[in-house]
Amino acid sequence: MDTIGGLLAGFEVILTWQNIQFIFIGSVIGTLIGVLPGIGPLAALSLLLPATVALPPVGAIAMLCAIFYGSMYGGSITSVLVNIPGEAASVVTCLDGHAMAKQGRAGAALGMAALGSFIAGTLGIIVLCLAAPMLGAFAIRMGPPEYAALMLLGLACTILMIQGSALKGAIMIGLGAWLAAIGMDIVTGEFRFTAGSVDLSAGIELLAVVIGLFGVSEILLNVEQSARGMAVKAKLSAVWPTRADWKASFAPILRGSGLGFAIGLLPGGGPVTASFLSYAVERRVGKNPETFGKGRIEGVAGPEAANNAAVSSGMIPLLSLGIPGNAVTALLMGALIINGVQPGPTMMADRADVFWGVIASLYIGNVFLLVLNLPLVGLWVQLLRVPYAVLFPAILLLALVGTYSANRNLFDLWVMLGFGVVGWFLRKLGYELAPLVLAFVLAPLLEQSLRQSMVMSPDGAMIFLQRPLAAVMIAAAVGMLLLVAFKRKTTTLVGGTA
Amino acid sequence: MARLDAAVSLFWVLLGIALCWSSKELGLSDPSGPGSGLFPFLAGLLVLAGGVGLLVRHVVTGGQPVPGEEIAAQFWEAPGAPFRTAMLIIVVAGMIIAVPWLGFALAGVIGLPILFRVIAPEKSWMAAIVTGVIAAGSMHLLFAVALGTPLPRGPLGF
Repeated sequence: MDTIGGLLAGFEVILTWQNIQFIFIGSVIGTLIGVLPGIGPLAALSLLLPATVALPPVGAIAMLCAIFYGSMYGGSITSVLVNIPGEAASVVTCLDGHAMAKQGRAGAALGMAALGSFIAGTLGIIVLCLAAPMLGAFAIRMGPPEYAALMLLGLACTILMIQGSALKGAIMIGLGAWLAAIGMDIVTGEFRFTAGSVDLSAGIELLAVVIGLFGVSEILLNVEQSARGMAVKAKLSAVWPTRADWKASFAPILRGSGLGFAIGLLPGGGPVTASFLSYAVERRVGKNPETFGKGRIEGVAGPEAANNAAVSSGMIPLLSLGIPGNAVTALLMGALIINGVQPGPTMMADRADVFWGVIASLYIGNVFLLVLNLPLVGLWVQLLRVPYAVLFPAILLLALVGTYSANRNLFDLWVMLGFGVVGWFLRKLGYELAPLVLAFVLAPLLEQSLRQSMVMSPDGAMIFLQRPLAAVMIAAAVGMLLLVAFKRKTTTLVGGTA
Repeated sequence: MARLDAAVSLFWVLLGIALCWSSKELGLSDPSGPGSGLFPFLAGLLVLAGGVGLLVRHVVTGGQPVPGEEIAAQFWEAPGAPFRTAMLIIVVAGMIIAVPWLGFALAGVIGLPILFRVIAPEKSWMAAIVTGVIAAGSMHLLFAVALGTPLPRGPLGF
């Protein structure tokens, strides 16, 4: 099936009344999540994942993708109006977006953020359509050694992209890989680390882990700070940007789209890195860089375009290789697996309906989000008045019911609460949790590929060096780890002499 | 906080050793290839290596934070934080214990108002109860009615 034919088939799958409803609901929830500070897209996706288990696979993934996209759109609203980012990728939008709001140009900033997001999101999806099948066709020729090497490379990239301590990130990867090994070994039938517990014999439920680590821990951190709702002081002007705004923003949107797309492709990359890099680029190439941070529309258009493009390109390694590049795509991968769809090179052949249906849903989601964001921005702002005392208890009940509904097992609720407390504790000590989840999702595939490789090799681990592609990927992984070690050493030395 | 960070690093070292040991018991290899314990052994080795690295660095720097890896100076930063955090964990644990007998809806009606008051003690109990009833009712409608998920039922039949 060619790209155009596949895409048309995808639209045929997605353009049903039921699927459109799912995308619409996802767009609304995503925007809501983006608007409300304190609950990020990762927490929201993990909390809402159980609600999608009962849905058909295409509808479920389309809804989750719409939530992710929507949170990117909605996140800019609070950044501009109250100088509080709704989610991490909108932090940089605060700088110029809020300055514009103080100058009475909140409408233009919000309008350009939504339009820039829409343009970049659409461009990103077009490239995704072209690139994913090509990569998938290439990946289908890979064997277990190449797969094992690719997954090792993915984990090495994750360490490279960790913002804080690489050592703590490595521990999280080891911990995630061990947690994934708990339960029955599917090759030998032996029980591993179950301590005789029947509940643990089937392994630890991914849903309970992610809801605990991201959802519950986020609420614990917020409740600790006694966060409350906030007042909105900035007034909204017309949201359609002027001709001068368009002229100033056109190039930043294109640059942001390209940069965001490239960053989103990298394992460990994502919307947050993309938006910060785009802002840095705009400051460097823009005239009068000293005026950035004082209300430059380029400082809104570029980063907002970049974070949306990164969302689109992040789907490429997931759909074509079955390798999630960040925690959100790891969660989407979990959702696909829960729905009986294995992402990867064979997905295009085995489940073309889901593959193209999901891609087509991204187009529709983008249109919904533009329609929801431009005219209804005033309505979203009103949501900031919802007190956290109402929001957080309701979210906790959602977490409990959602976790239970996946397997109807009360033990999962204790797993969720346990991981929530552990996640909260580790986050306070500067541990990033995304590597743990990435390792938890990738470890079973990595272990399977590793064991298959060793069984098919007469020379043991040498098979990874005898196969050129695997050898290149392992060399790249080692190179990444050396780069991390070098970068950290340089930082320490510079920090030490400063 | 630096001491707590070091204590957690020590915990990783001990966990890594325990994981490597128990993985070795499972068997690292058998005649057909890698054994059940090989992969968790490698995972344990990573945890152990990371923990040792953190401990060594703690000793070398004298507990001083490395640039770019700073953590908060105090574990509890906001006043009343230990109470709110502990209450939230206790109430959620209580709700989990109560679910098989009361069902999710009734456990929510009882637990949510307490959580509401923990987060906003200045609000009235009436507001808390109304919020709890609405939230628990909405959740029941979404999962039990709209999605048809069989949830544990309480003495009132829902």
